[in-house]
Amino acid sequence: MAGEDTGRRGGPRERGAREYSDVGIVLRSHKLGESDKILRILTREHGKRSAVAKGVRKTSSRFGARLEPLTCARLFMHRGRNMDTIKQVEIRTSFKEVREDLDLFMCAQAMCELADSITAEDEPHPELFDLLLGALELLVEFPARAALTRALFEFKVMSASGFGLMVAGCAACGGELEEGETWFSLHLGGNICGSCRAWRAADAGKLVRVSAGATGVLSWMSTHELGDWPDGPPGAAAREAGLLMDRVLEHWMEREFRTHRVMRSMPGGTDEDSRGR
Amino acid sequence: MTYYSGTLENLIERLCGLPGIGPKSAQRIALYLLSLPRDEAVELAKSIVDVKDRVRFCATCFNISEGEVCGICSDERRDTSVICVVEEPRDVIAIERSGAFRGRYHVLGGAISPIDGVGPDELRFTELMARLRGGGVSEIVAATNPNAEGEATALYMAQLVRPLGIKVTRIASGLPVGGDLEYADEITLGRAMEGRQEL
Ligand SMILES: [Zn+2]
Ligand SMILES: [Zn+2]
Repeated sequence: MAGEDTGRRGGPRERGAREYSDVGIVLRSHKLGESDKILRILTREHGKRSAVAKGVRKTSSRFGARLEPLTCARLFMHRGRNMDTIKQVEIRTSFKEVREDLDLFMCAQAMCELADSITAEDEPHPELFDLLLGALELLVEFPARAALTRALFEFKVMSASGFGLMVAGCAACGGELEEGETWFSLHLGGNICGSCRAWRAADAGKLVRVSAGATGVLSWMSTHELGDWPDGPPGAAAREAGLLMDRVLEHWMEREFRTHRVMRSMPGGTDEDSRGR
Repeated sequence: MTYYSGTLENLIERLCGLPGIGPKSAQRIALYLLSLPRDEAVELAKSIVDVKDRVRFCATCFNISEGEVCGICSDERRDTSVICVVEEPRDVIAIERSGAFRGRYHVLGGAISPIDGVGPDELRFTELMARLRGGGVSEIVAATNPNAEGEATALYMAQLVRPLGIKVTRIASGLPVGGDLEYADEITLGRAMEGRQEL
């Protein structure tokens, strides 16, 4: 009788294994054919997945608006041989406020590029998912603090990936750092003291001078989490720390980030002081 | 798996590189072309070469054009004070079909997408600014796609153009005409509500 044969080949049980549901954030999308899109999605439990969304570029699609970049949604997926297919979407948070502000959008895309580049397909990384979701929520809630949110997100993602930055003491000798301005070694991933700098001359090209303010922001980041804010306006020091984090990431990943290049090419960029919020 | 001679195989491979054509369709098209009378096949080949030789981008708006300047840019009857900025030439065709716009166009050649490495430098913003500095334009219509990249492009354009004292407008987003309200997704419906107008 129909409906009893649940365990056989092609029965509901086997189909069930190919259907799955998870919460995911749309990292990026590519056009495919006439009206489809391929989406790169960071799911919470199933890692990064590539999925086809059929017909979403047609204005009549009910899916299109629900699968815009940055959207966090519950997805109902069908696992395919090469790629998944999206069957149904329920929006959790659209993050439309981020897409409607150029600076916030760039900031969010830089975070998505990092999330995309440090994960392999199919490797679950719930901690990364939670960090990205948390950071996107902070962009909506505290738009004027976007630069610090992004820097802190990058710092925490590196720590979660086993590459914690050494900012409390000298990354070379472990000794104490001088007060005020310091030097950051991209090779060692941390600040180094004056005497270590003196005889690590070979590293000269990989040393970045960091102001006292930015050094303070870096050490603050090492002991705080997303959602914490330092006392007083972070302003220029946070921006400097953010630029340093970009360089650290690019050194670590051994490549230039596309989002960083585009942001550098645009006048202004994420500027906390000029937002006037 | 080469079942065919090198010449036929070569044609199939080339057809396979066309958008929307898989190996099976490529094979079917190649065999169909093979069955055509010689002069018909030559006509087809010639029209491909003609397109490459004669069709280019308009020097003013970067729409597809047969001459130095396209038909729209050289049409004296069109309003020169309004420029509609779109991503691709096919968007010009879509808006022209609506008959709702009588100004001129500017084709950017894409949309800002930082994660794909596409920023303003990769698009025709310098050319747009040169046109605007030439004077005579009072309004720019941002008719980029209603998606994240199109939105970012429109926002950037507004930042860029506003200091020149030129009005920047954005095409409205809303419900597709002829449909039922209950079938609209929540984002589109939200936008339609935000953009409501007095009757
Ligand atoms: Zn030292
Ligand atoms: Zn033209």
